[in-house]
Amino acid sequence: MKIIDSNNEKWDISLQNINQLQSIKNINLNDEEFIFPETEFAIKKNTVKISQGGQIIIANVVKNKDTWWVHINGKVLTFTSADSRKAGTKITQGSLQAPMPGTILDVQVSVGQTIETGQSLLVMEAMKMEHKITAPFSGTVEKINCKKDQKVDRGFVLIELKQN
Amino acid sequence: MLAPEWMKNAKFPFGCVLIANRGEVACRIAKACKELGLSAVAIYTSSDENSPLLDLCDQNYFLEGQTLHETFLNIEAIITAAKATGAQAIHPGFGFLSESAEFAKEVIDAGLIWIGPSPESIEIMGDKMSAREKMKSVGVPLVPGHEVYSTGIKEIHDELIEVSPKLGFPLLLKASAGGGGKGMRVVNRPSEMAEAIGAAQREAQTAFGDGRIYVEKLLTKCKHIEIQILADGYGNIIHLGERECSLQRRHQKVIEECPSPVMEPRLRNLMGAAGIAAAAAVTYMGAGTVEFLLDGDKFYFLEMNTRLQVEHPVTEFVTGIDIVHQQFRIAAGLPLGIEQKEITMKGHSIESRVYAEDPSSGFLPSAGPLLRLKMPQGPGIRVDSGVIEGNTIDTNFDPMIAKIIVHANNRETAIMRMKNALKETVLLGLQTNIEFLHALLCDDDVINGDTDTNLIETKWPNGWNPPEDPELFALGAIACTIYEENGLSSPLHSNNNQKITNDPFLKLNNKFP
Repeated sequence: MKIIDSNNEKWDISLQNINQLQSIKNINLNDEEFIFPETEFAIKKNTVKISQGGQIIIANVVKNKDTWWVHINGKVLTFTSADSRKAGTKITQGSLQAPMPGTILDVQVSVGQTIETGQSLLVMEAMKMEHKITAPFSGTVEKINCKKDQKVDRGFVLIELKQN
Repeated sequence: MLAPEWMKNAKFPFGCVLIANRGEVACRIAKACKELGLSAVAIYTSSDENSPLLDLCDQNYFLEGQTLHETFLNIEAIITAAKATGAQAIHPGFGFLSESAEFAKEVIDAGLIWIGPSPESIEIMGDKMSAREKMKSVGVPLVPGHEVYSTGIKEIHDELIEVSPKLGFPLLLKASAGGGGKGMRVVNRPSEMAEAIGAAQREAQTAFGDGRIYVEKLLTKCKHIEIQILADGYGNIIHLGERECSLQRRHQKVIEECPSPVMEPRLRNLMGAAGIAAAAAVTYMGAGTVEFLLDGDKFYFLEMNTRLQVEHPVTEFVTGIDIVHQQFRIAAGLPLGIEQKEITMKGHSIESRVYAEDPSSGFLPSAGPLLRLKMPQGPGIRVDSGVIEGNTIDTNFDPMIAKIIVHANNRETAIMRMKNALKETVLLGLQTNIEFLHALLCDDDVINGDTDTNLIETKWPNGWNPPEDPELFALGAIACTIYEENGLSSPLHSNNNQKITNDPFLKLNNKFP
């Protein structure tokens, strides 16, 4: 299965079944073979049990939409399927995404307006915390995709700018 | 509802309590009600329909409305709820209306018992300038500063410029009605003063409807130490020692502990006495917390929180006193059954606040479903939480999901216990600070107790990222592949199947005729 981790690295894992035991056939990281110590796996209830060098590690895995959430030994990793990533829209430099989920409190600019580096464009709020979205460069406002009181998810493209 | 037997000699007995709050603190209070034989009423909104609180309470009262002002901040609706359900007392928890003198007054005027201090105590301590004046009058040490009573920007400016050489830069402008970092501005040099006054006033006016500001010398490299107070209605006031809460981000506490690693008995006695003096100055009643900044062995009054505090469990573990039980006893008009000399501190306790936030993006809030939730268990571990697997954390409320509290014989063991408890905690579906909390407890300065309120923003000014570990990512990718290729991707479905096939008791049961 091909998946992408949160650092944008591509993993490709193939499994094989020998005598009804699952094992790894090969692991590729960014299309190169990844050397990995001998590891055994079992599925126990809704977790994956991994034994490696005499140590047993329990991995909790859940999937939500296109994202897998994995908990291993106190660490949480997320992966997305390689297919969904390809289909996603391209985020350009001037697309300002919401850094957190929340509500739009104020849109301080309008389409066509010229803006300067560091100028406050929009204020959003989540969990009683206000956060300002500021211009990363000087330019013009091309498009505004949100309005006051709208709720947005993290990663939603709020405003699109064109650099001077 | 009849008052429980233990209240038979109480002046103001009650049998039914409305909890004017939600989430983990409401659950904690509901459990205390159960233990004490009190009937509990939950108020809830459409966001809380799957909350475990509703099962912990004897009655649930639905609040109409979408915004907080229509629901958890709606004094009239909450008093109506109390009347409709036959509640005789109201516990405000923390946050929301817990420090509203107006709410306390309305509750009392409605003939209900307010579980907290008098509206007058709340009012004096809630206004930072009047609290400072009050503390000055009873000799509690204050952060060097100056209260401004002029109103025009020019007058304020001239007044502050006049006192600034005496205080020394940097200065901190603060809102008198303030809290939560709002209306606060750092002034590094005289030329920045005018702009900072304007900004602080505007922010205070917007946030609190009150633009009054005052100035304090900005103390850096200080510890946040607070004293837990219990006071009854008969003039008995005791303290339950200190909590250290220096580890903060955005002026919000992250990890708290009791006792403070730098505390020694002489200083504890001094700070305890100052805490008691502060409470006595406002004829305090109930549980309260007096917060201080500690600079070497000098301490300065910061503010008093006239309510139960988030981090109260660390004090409960170390002193063995249930603070919520005491709040109920005091509100019923029973005298404090404990004397100062009976208070002993045993072992060490640490609390970690699990927040819905993303440490890698500067601790900004996160949201999402709790797809899997397994909280730690074991000797010396307490979990206070108000959510269950399947609930969703949304951005309307506070980011705190749960608190993990540990207790051990000494600090070193308490740290080990907390680190393991954090590792055991499985919370999938949204970003949290759990790994960051673990990393914090691995930091040398934290281990040595060498902490101050700026530690987190000094060490991780742009947030925290986990160390790179390709082998871990490989294991994660493998686990996802196994999960996917064995058809486990519908978690609820597979969960149910497993319960039927793997539960030995179910199989045994089936054999009975």
